[in-house]
Amino acid sequence: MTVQEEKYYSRQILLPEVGSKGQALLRNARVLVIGAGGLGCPVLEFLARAGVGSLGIVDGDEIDVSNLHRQSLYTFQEVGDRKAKVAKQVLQKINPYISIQSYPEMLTKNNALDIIDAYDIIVDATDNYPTRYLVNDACVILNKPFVYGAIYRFEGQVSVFNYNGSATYRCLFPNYPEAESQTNCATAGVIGILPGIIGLMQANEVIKIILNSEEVLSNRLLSYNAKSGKTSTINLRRDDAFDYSIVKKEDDGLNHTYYNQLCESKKEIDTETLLSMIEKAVCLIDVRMPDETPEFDHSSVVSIPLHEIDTVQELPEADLFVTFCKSGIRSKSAQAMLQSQFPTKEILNLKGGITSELIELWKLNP
Amino acid sequence: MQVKFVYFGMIAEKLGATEEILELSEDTQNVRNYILNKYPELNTMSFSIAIDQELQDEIGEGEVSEIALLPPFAGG
Repeated sequence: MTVQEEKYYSRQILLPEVGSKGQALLRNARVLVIGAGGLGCPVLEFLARAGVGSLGIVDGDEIDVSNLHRQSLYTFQEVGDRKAKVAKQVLQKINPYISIQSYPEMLTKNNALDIIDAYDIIVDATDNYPTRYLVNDACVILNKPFVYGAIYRFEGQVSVFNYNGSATYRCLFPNYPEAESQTNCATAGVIGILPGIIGLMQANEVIKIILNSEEVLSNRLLSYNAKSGKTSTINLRRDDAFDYSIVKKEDDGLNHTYYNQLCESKKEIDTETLLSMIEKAVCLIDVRMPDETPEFDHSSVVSIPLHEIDTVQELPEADLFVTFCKSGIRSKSAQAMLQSQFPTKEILNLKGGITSELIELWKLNP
Repeated sequence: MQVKFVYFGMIAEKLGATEEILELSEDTQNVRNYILNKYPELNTMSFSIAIDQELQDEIGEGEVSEIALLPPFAGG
């Protein structure tokens, strides 16, 4: 450690619980944060400042203006950019002594085990149930502890799962939530401070695991209410009723159906990107009704109206499939359905639907 | 027996309270059945139950002072 680096951490090295030994533990730690949103931003910022030597960031989303009231690593300047890339740049400026790896992609059943395997501690800072169950299952299979945080409006939950054989997310919530329980910040609203508080509680648990604290928040669920200022804790037990072998395919992948419901349905492509990729063998799937205009009479376009999508037996040969309709809404449902029917194919939805550029392109290539 | 019920997240919103005292009869065993019978509107919601801070649906021997209904949160 250089003199300057030692000075950077000097205030926490002063703590007997940290010291030079603890700082070395932090430096050797490898932590993966899944989701770089409301929870992920504070987790990442403070783990970077604490000197966690190797940080991974998984997030396939782009920064939206509506994220800025709570996602503290981003500013107006980066709206539209990939969160994982921007977070890495910002964090590297905050702490140049650590190494940061960004994965600007959604966690899916195809990449989860590979990405998670390279880290010692995982942070679940995601915003949807399919990914939460996916993180849980992958961590149990790979025997990694993960620090859970989740929020709803003014309330948050924190726990450390699968730590030295402790309870897992499935011990707390064995069944996939009913539709009515499926809201996130985008649909339910959230006060920006709450993910800040819960995210920092998660970061605190990560540090405690690294420093071998005896009071890690495992086998306990902490609930916090920002309105009342009340916290409460309930005790959890490891319940091995769930058979994890059913989520694991023989080829080492995860194969549980409901991961698809959200993780992969977010996949979208815009017209500009599509046009730049047109040399690839792209198959465009028109999910409009046959009488809708304009008509696209081209060898790359197949017509499968939305109501017939669930009867599709096979797809033509192509590297990439892009579903489209007039506005991009119906084709989004079609994309999700096709992706669950054909999990190994790359299927994207055309964001915004049929644009003038697209019409122009197909005129040029009749 | 009088028991304090504590509600979180959407459960609290749906019931319009974060806590209330309910009278449980001596023969009540399964808290989930009891609460779904009392509040059928919770049938469409997911939640776990903690009886005196321990995650379980069934009431064991002895007095119970607090029961919490904890829904999962998706947000992040």
